[in-house]
Amino acid sequence: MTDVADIHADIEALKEFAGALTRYRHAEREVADRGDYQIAATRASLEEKASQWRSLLAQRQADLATCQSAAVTDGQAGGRADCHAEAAAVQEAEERLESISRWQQQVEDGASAFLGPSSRFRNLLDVDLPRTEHHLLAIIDGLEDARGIRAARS
Amino acid sequence: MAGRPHEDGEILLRELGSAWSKTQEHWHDDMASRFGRSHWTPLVDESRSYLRALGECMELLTAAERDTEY
Repeated sequence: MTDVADIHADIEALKEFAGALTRYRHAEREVADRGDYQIAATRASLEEKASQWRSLLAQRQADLATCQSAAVTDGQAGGRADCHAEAAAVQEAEERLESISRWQQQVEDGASAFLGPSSRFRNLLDVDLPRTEHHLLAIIDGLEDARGIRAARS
Repeated sequence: MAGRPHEDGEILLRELGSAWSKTQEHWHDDMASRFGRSHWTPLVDESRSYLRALGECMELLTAAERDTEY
Protein backbone atom coordinates (compact mmCIF):
# COMPACT_ATOMS: atom_id res chain seq x y z
CA MET A 1 0.00 0.00 0.00
CA THR A 2 1.36 3.42 -0.94
CA ASP A 3 0.49 6.40 1.21
CA VAL A 4 0.80 10.10 0.42
CA ALA A 5 4.14 10.35 2.22
CA ASP A 6 5.65 7.70 -0.09
CA ILE A 7 4.33 9.45 -3.19
CA HIS A 8 6.02 12.68 -2.19
CA ALA A 9 9.20 11.15 -0.78
CA ASP A 10 11.15 12.11 -3.90
CA ILE A 11 10.15 15.77 -3.51
CA GLU A 12 11.21 15.80 0.14
CA ALA A 13 14.49 14.06 -0.78
CA LEU A 14 15.13 16.66 -3.49
CA LYS A 15 14.41 19.49 -1.06
CA GLU A 16 16.86 18.02 1.44
CA PHE A 17 19.47 17.63 -1.26
CA ALA A 18 18.96 21.23 -2.42
CA GLY A 19 19.59 22.32 1.16
CA ALA A 20 22.70 20.13 1.34
CA LEU A 21 24.04 21.75 -1.84
CA THR A 22 23.54 25.23 -0.37
CA ARG A 23 25.31 24.25 2.86
CA TYR A 24 28.13 22.68 0.85
CA ARG A 25 28.57 25.86 -1.19
CA HIS A 26 28.89 28.03 1.92
CA ALA A 27 31.14 25.61 3.82
CA GLU A 28 33.48 25.00 0.87
CA ARG A 29 33.78 28.73 0.30
CA GLU A 30 35.05 28.99 3.87
CA VAL A 31 37.51 26.16 3.15
CA ALA A 32 38.74 27.99 0.04
CA ASP A 33 39.12 31.22 2.04
CA ARG A 34 41.16 29.39 4.67
CA GLY A 35 43.35 27.88 1.96
CA ASP A 36 44.03 31.31 0.47
CA TYR A 37 44.69 32.70 3.95
CA GLN A 38 47.26 29.95 4.62
CA ILE A 39 49.14 30.84 1.45
CA ALA A 40 49.20 34.53 2.41
CA ALA A 41 50.23 33.69 5.99
CA THR A 42 53.14 31.49 4.84
CA ARG A 43 54.31 34.14 2.38
CA ALA A 44 54.30 36.71 5.20
CA SER A 45 56.00 34.33 7.61
CA LEU A 46 58.80 33.51 5.14
CA GLU A 47 59.30 37.20 4.39
CA GLU A 48 59.51 37.93 8.12
CA LYS A 49 62.10 35.17 8.57
CA ALA A 50 64.09 36.44 5.58
CA SER A 51 64.03 39.94 7.03
CA GLN A 52 65.27 38.70 10.42
CA TRP A 53 68.11 36.71 8.82
CA ARG A 54 69.08 39.64 6.60
CA SER A 55 69.45 41.77 9.76
CA LEU A 56 71.40 38.99 11.48
CA LEU A 57 73.65 38.59 8.44
CA ALA A 58 74.43 42.32 8.39
CA GLN A 59 75.18 42.23 12.13
CA ARG A 60 77.39 39.15 11.79
CA GLN A 61 79.21 40.61 8.79
CA ALA A 62 79.93 43.70 10.89
CA ASP A 63 81.16 41.50 13.75
CA LEU A 64 83.42 39.61 11.34
CA ALA A 65 84.81 42.87 9.90
CA THR A 66 85.52 44.13 13.42
CA CYS A 67 87.26 40.85 14.28
CA GLN A 68 89.31 40.86 11.08
CA SER A 69 90.32 44.45 11.70
CA ALA A 70 91.40 43.50 15.22
CA ALA A 71 93.29 40.52 13.79
CA VAL A 72 95.31 42.83 11.56
CA THR A 73 96.13 45.09 14.55
CA ASP A 74 96.95 42.07 16.74
CA GLY A 75 99.10 40.58 13.98
CA GLN A 76 101.08 43.78 13.74
CA ALA A 77 101.54 43.58 17.51
CA GLY A 78 102.64 39.95 17.24
CA GLY A 79 99.33 38.51 18.51
CA ARG A 80 96.81 36.31 16.68
CA ALA A 81 93.05 37.00 16.71
CA ASP A 82 90.74 34.09 15.86
CA CYS A 83 87.74 35.04 13.67
CA HIS A 84 86.55 31.50 12.86
CA ALA A 85 83.43 31.81 15.02
CA GLU A 86 82.45 35.10 13.36
CA ALA A 87 83.06 33.65 9.89
CA ALA A 88 81.01 30.56 10.72
CA ALA A 89 78.17 32.76 11.99
CA VAL A 90 78.21 34.73 8.72
CA GLN A 91 78.17 31.51 6.71
CA GLU A 92 75.26 30.16 8.76
CA ALA A 93 73.22 33.34 8.16
CA GLU A 94 73.99 33.21 4.41
CA GLU A 95 72.94 29.56 4.17
CA ARG A 96 69.70 30.14 6.06
CA LEU A 97 68.87 33.14 3.94
CA GLU A 98 69.49 31.07 0.81
CA SER A 99 67.29 28.28 2.16
CA ILE A 100 64.46 30.71 2.96
CA SER A 101 64.81 32.26 -0.48
CA ARG A 102 64.55 28.82 -2.13
CA TRP A 103 61.42 28.07 -0.09
CA GLN A 104 59.94 31.43 -1.02
CA GLN A 105 60.41 30.53 -4.68
CA GLN A 106 58.90 27.08 -4.19
CA VAL A 107 55.90 28.58 -2.40
CA GLU A 108 55.42 31.05 -5.27
CA ASP A 109 55.60 28.18 -7.79
CA GLY A 110 53.12 26.15 -5.72
CA ALA A 111 50.77 29.11 -5.35
CA SER A 112 50.90 29.67 -9.12
CA ALA A 113 50.11 26.03 -9.83
CA PHE A 114 47.22 26.26 -7.37
CA LEU A 115 45.69 29.32 -9.06
CA GLY A 116 44.01 27.35 -11.88
CA PRO A 117 42.19 24.76 -9.72
CA SER A 118 41.38 27.47 -7.16
CA SER A 119 39.88 29.77 -9.78
CA ARG A 120 37.80 26.94 -11.30
CA PHE A 121 36.55 25.91 -7.85
CA ARG A 122 35.59 29.49 -6.99
CA ASN A 123 33.69 29.62 -10.27
CA LEU A 124 31.97 26.37 -9.38
CA LEU A 125 30.92 27.78 -5.99
CA ASP A 126 29.91 31.23 -7.25
CA VAL A 127 28.32 30.38 -10.60
CA ASP A 128 27.75 26.68 -11.32
CA LEU A 129 26.48 25.56 -7.94
CA PRO A 130 23.85 28.32 -7.56
CA ARG A 131 22.73 27.41 -11.08
CA THR A 132 22.47 23.75 -10.05
CA GLU A 133 20.47 24.72 -6.98
CA HIS A 134 18.08 26.80 -9.12
CA HIS A 135 17.74 23.89 -11.54
CA LEU A 136 16.90 21.55 -8.68
CA LEU A 137 14.34 23.98 -7.24
CA ALA A 138 12.75 24.23 -10.69
CA ILE A 139 12.49 20.43 -10.81
CA ILE A 140 10.89 20.45 -7.34
CA ASP A 141 8.43 23.15 -8.45
CA GLY A 142 7.62 21.13 -11.55
CA LEU A 143 6.96 17.98 -9.53
CA GLU A 144 4.80 19.88 -7.06
CA ASP A 145 2.83 21.50 -9.88
CA ALA A 146 2.36 18.16 -11.59
CA ARG A 147 1.01 16.62 -8.42
CA GLY A 148 -1.08 19.64 -7.49
CA ILE A 149 0.73 20.00 -4.19
CA ARG A 150 1.26 23.71 -4.39
CA ALA A 151 -2.31 24.32 -5.52
CA ALA A 152 -3.55 22.19 -2.67
CA ARG A 153 -1.28 23.97 -0.20
CA SER A 154 -2.38 27.44 -1.22
CA MET B 1 35.48 22.69 11.46
CA ALA B 2 39.02 23.60 12.39
CA GLY B 3 41.21 20.96 10.77
CA ARG B 4 43.40 21.45 7.74
CA PRO B 5 41.35 23.11 4.97
CA HIS B 6 41.65 20.32 2.39
CA GLU B 7 40.76 17.66 4.95
CA ASP B 8 37.69 19.62 6.03
CA GLY B 9 36.79 20.08 2.37
CA GLU B 10 37.01 16.33 1.79
CA ILE B 11 34.72 15.69 4.76
CA LEU B 12 32.20 18.15 3.31
CA LEU B 13 32.36 16.43 -0.08
CA ARG B 14 31.83 13.01 1.53
CA GLU B 15 28.82 14.38 3.44
CA LEU B 16 27.37 15.78 0.23
CA GLY B 17 27.99 12.41 -1.43
CA SER B 18 25.97 10.73 1.32
CA ALA B 19 23.16 13.26 0.80
CA TRP B 20 23.20 12.49 -2.94
CA SER B 21 23.07 8.73 -2.28
CA LYS B 22 20.04 9.22 -0.02
CA THR B 23 18.40 11.36 -2.69
CA GLN B 24 18.97 8.66 -5.30
CA GLU B 25 17.04 6.18 -3.16
CA HIS B 26 13.92 8.26 -3.89
CA TRP B 27 14.79 9.86 -7.21
CA HIS B 28 15.80 7.56 -10.03
CA ASP B 29 14.01 8.60 -13.19
CA ASP B 30 15.50 9.97 -16.44
CA MET B 31 15.63 13.45 -14.95
CA ALA B 32 17.74 12.11 -12.09
CA SER B 33 20.14 10.48 -14.58
CA ARG B 34 20.46 13.73 -16.52
CA PHE B 35 21.03 15.67 -13.30
CA GLY B 36 23.70 13.19 -12.29
CA ARG B 37 25.53 13.49 -15.58
CA SER B 38 25.28 17.22 -16.11
CA HIS B 39 25.44 18.55 -12.54
CA TRP B 40 26.52 16.01 -9.94
CA THR B 41 29.48 14.40 -11.74
CA PRO B 42 31.10 17.72 -12.78
CA LEU B 43 30.59 19.05 -9.23
CA VAL B 44 32.35 16.07 -7.70
CA ASP B 45 35.15 16.05 -10.29
CA GLU B 46 35.87 19.75 -9.88
CA SER B 47 35.70 19.54 -6.09
CA ARG B 48 38.10 16.57 -6.00
CA SER B 49 40.50 18.29 -8.37
CA TYR B 50 40.51 21.42 -6.21
CA LEU B 51 40.88 19.57 -2.92
CA ARG B 52 43.79 17.53 -4.31
CA ALA B 53 45.53 20.75 -5.42
CA LEU B 54 44.75 22.40 -2.07
CA GLY B 55 46.21 19.41 -0.21
CA GLU B 56 49.42 19.56 -2.24
CA CYS B 57 49.67 23.29 -1.63
CA MET B 58 49.11 22.87 2.14
CA GLU B 59 51.83 20.18 2.27
CA LEU B 60 54.21 22.58 0.56
CA LEU B 61 53.39 25.39 2.99
CA THR B 62 53.88 23.08 5.98
CA ALA B 63 57.26 21.93 4.65
CA ALA B 64 58.31 25.53 4.01
CA GLU B 65 57.43 26.57 7.57
CA ARG B 66 59.06 23.48 9.09
CA ASP B 67 62.31 23.72 7.12
CA THR B 68 62.80 27.41 7.84
CA GLU B 69 62.16 27.08 11.58
CA TYR B 70 65.67 27.73 12.96
